[in-house]
Amino acid sequence: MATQNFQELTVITMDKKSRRIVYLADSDHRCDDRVLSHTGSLTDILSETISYSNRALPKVGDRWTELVRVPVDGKIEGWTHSRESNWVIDSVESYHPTHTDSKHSEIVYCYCKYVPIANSGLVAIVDGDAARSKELVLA
Amino acid sequence: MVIMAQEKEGKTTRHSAANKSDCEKMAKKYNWDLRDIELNSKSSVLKYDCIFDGDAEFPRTYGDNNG
Repeated sequence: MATQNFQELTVITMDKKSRRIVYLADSDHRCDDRVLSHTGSLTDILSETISYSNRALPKVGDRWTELVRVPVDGKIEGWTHSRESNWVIDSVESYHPTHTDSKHSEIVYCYCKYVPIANSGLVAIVDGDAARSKELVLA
Repeated sequence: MVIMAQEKEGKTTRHSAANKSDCEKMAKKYNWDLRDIELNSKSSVLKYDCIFDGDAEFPRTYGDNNG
């Protein structure tokens, strides 16, 4: 990330609020794998997104997109890809915080049911910093 | 490798950051959706990797296009 971008981050309007979108599993499928690592507690949360975009909210029938770690040279180091998962949104609830100091403008719960997908292609995560550096060098 | 044959690009984007909170600051500034944060073991300075939904590119500036 360029230095100028770090500096720009300090000049951010404070009133801009995010939508917090929480994806929840509604079944016991592989529930033993969903563990909060710092407590060891089981959780139904599949993932959370902090949204500052104006994208439409997830809707019933959408598939939750999961992140995937594909080994590179035999080692697993971080997220490498995304793909459509086996979880389909079954219902959506949203709430608007009434507290004026709330960090979020809306809280959205997406309850997902397990519906295996036959073939879900992997999509490589784009390295935004590397792509940017390459463009600046070539410019 | 079968996985490689299925690859296509553009659904999520990674940017590194020095602090965890910078991930959300980036999302806030550029109107992105912050999907995940993980430790970046490849750098001791930019210790965090922020994963954003979609094509999260920094906007072009005048200087970028005119040297």
